[in-house]
Amino acid sequence: MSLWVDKYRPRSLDELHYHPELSSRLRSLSASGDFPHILFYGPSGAGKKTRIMATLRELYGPGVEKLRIDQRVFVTPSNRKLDVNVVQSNYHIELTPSDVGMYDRVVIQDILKEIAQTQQVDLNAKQRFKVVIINEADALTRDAQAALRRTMEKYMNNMRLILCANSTSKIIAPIRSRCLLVRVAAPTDDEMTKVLQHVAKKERFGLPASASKSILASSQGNLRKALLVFEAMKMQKPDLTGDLEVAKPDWETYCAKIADSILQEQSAQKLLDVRGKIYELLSHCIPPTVVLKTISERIVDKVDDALKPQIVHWAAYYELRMRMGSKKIFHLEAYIAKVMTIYKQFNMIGYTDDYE
Amino acid sequence: MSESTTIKPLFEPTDIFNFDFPTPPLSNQSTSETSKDASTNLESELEITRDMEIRSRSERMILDSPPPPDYEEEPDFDEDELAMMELERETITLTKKTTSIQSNPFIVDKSKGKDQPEEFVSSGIFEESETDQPIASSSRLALTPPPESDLTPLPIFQNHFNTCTLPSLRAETMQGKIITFKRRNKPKPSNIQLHSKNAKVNVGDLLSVPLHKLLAEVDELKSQQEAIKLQQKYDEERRRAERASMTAIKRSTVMWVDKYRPKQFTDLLGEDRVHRDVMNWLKEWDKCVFKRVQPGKKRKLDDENFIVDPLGRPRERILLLSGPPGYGKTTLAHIVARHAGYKTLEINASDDRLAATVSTRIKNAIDAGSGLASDGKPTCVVIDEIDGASGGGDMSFIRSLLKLIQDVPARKKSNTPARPLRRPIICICNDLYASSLRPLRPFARVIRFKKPQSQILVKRLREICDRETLSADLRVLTTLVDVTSGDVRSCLNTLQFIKSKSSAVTDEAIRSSSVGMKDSGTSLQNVWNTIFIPLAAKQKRKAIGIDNGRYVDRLSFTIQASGEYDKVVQGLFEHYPNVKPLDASLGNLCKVHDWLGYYDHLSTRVSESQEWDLMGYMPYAITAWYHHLAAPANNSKPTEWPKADYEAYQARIANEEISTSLKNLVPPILRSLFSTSTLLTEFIPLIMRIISPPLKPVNANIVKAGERAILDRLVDLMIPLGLRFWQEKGENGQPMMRLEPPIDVFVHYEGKRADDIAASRFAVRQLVAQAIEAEIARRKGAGVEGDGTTGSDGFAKAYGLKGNAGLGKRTVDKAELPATDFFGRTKSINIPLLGTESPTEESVSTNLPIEPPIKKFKAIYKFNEGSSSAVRKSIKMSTLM
Repeated sequence: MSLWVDKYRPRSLDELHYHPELSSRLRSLSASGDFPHILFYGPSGAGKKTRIMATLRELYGPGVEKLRIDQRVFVTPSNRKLDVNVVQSNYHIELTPSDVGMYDRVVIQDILKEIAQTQQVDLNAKQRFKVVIINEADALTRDAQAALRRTMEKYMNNMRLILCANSTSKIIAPIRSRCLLVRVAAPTDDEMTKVLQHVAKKERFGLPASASKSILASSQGNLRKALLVFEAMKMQKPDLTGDLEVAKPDWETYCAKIADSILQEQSAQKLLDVRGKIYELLSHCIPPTVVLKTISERIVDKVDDALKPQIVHWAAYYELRMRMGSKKIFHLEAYIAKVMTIYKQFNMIGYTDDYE
Repeated sequence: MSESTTIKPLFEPTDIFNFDFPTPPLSNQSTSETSKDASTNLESELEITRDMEIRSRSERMILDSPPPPDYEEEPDFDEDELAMMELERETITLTKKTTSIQSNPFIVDKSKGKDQPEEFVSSGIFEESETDQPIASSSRLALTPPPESDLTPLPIFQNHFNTCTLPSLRAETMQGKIITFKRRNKPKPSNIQLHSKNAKVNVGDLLSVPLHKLLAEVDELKSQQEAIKLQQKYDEERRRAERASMTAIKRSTVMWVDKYRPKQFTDLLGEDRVHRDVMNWLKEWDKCVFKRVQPGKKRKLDDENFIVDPLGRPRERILLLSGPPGYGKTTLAHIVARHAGYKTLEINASDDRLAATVSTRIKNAIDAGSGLASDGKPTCVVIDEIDGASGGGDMSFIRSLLKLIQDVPARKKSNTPARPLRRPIICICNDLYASSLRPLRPFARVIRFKKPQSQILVKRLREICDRETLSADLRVLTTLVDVTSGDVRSCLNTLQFIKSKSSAVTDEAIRSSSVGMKDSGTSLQNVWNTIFIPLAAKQKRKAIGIDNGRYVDRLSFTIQASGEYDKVVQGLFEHYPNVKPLDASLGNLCKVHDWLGYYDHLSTRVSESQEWDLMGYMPYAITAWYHHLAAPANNSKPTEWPKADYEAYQARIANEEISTSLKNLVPPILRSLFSTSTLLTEFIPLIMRIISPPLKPVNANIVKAGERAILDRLVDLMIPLGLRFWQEKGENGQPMMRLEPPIDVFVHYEGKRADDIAASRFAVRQLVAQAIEAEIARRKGAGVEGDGTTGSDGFAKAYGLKGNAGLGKRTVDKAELPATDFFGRTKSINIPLLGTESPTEESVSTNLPIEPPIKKFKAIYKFNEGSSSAVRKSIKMSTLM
């Protein structure tokens, strides 16, 4: 027994609930025998990973589901040893750059070379190549991406890459041009409802429309999250009736609190107060960009229409600076100070057109 | 006032006074005689002019009109010049007359007339003179000495050159005679004027001054000339001397520091107490080295030493002098050693300092001196800059030094007793707390140097300046001492440097030569203060060379000196919201953040892509804060050491470990489905809600059917995820069930649990824990009977692979096992997986004896109190029955 998210995950391309045209294309690609490098991209929880796994199953058969975790040791140029756990099957290997930190280039190079230079051992394997999946490919450093370029061409015989990213914008153009770009769009509300109903049916209970509606509203097109929320709801209130409380991650609630307190008062003292809260979020390992995004979404919801573009503008501005810098808290606070300033200005003189 | 009144006495009383003219006793006769002649000459001359004037009267009548506007100035000046001319020309003839005039109360002193030249003209006397002034007025006027119209008009008559085109001036005497004053052009200011000046000095003034005064003046003049000559001579000598001294400096390369190094104890600068302490310590060695008892009051202390040390050495056999550079530590050591009758062996950083050095150089020196050899003096070893002896080979230097002073034998095996240290060793360091000195400190008498009193230092510097003919006033020297913070060496070096360029010490000279001299050790607190607090006016004046109301240089210098940019910024960042001048619109706040972002960008580039060039700009990004934040009021709130960032960092690291441990427990498929960030943002918060259903804490056997389903589901979920409840004693002694891995930290913000998660009570958790244990045991049993009957095969696998680690740790005296006999021998049907684990002793006793599952259950006994295995022991059932 496992989480619904895993339990009702489609295992094969046929089982997928939506994007049928995409499934058929993937199927024909796997059948063609000339499988390209693929870059899957799309919002979080849209089903990229599910499709990747289904495609692999299509390529190699059910053996690909037998996952194991190997611990590997890599040596950085500065002679530091890195222990990395890699998920792999006989036919593929998965990498997540965020596990490796700033040494992703070393790890990528080592693993790719190793795989590329060894032929498929299993004679019964359907394909002669192995597949390397790189999760969160948009988190790869520039160096690591550059390291990929040549290997992708050179070792085409033995290896295929499948990249998985939220957005192509952080992937360098040479890699994009070497891959088949596959966009996995987030499911529509109807599609999500269908999936939820499917799960409910399998679990042998009925899902009231109100419940499914509130789940959809809180998950915003993220099916993975929707399923988790659904399960939490079912766990908390087994009968799914009455006043349903949609489980919301705590950090989201906390971010909303921060946003509210920013709008409530604009002063240096408040800033200090908010800083403490942001430190709290960061120490709970919430990614700073997520914090920035969540706070600004909440603020945008609450402020006057005239201010909305500015809030978003500055959020983008400071996210860029955050990526260029290293101390996240500086830029988060800078953003909050900026928002406070323009909000205060707007409240005092009724307008603001300060983009600089 | 009128011309006539003043003129009258000119003519008449002259004769009268002529007779009365008292010959001053000191004046010579000839002068008086000639003056008599002159007076008669003058009379006749006057007559002539009068005639001339009468002749030209017709013209005069016409010319009586008021003078042209520019006229007022000219005659005035003319008069002046004219007077001088006259004086020059007719000195002799006039001498007597003028002297008489001078004595006449009516006539104002010439110089006075000169002082107020305007009056002559502005009063318009020449026009007014037309109106016949009554004689009586003259008598009235006589009471008040008329300020103008002295003898000067008189000599005009002599004046027959340089006739002016301007109209003549007319005047009438008391007798009704009309006198015309012709006007002349302004004489060219050529040699004439020069002459006239001389004349004025020599003669004109002389006339008005009593002779004795004149003589005094002459004397004064003479002495002045003498003085000038002397001065010139002196200057010459001085210049020569300077030149000589300059060349001397050029020739001799003696540094002033060496030249003026104190030669004896009494010359030493600084605190006497310190000097005496050093001396006392060295004197304590006398007993050992010179075999004589130090006479004096310290008897008692010495006695103590005798008890401790048979050789009569002081308790601390090594002296450690510490203090900032330039305070005279080395000098003191050498002087004191010499005074106490030692010769010194100095070992400093320039010598190589290995352990071998101690045995060779130091020991040799000491041993050689022990027989009072060489020049009959024992050796005192001075180890300079000992704090530099750190790391690798140098550490052994300190260690072997320690051995030396502790009388440790050179070779452990040998039975020969160590040769004890019989000579004093003085160590000198700057940083007393250098890590390399740590082992040495307990064995050393530590004497700390303090900054010498600035007055004494200034006085000494002044003496040196005098001797070097360098002019310097006390104020400047005081500044110098302040700037160098009492470093005598750098004071002297600076002075010598200045001396090589000029002969006087000025503020500028110090400024130019001492900027950047001291860049050592700015504390972070200082840096923060300099950014938040502007200089007080007093400090501003004191700040040498770096503050002219401009802060950029001063601040960036300070920041650079501190070196720790990140710390500086962190401190500023944490403190700035407390700072006063944040304006209401928060405008400066955004500016500050712009700079902060810029700084961060720079530092990232430096650290990540090693663009060290950018490092030079980093202080300026910090400096810019000053403009926005500095205010005197910030003084009241000192910047605290930044800790929030580090605390958050530590918390994050701890939490990351938790999430990693969870990640390593979950089955691979979940691991691949959830990336690190989604694990944290989606998985953990929601799984926490999933695993805390509203269960009632009741006995597992009487759980209602609905709750039973939830419980089963929960158990199903938690086992593959590797989540367990684990009993533990809380801080207050209360038993509590802890979630392991403790991912519940992720739903606790600010120490509070989210509202929508039901409080997970101890009893509930215990219930769940028991259920989990039961299930695990059941599966284990099932696994033994026949694999794959329980659960989905995927999870059986997952459980088999992953859950084992957790299982081994957690199945502590589990009793839901079918085997109730604790000591029953295992039938070894255990699958190897189970056999290999079982790390804890409890599990050894409980898990190993697994029997093939017997489906009939027996009584279960559980001893569950306390977590200490010390009180647990296996007992037989019979003892309980």
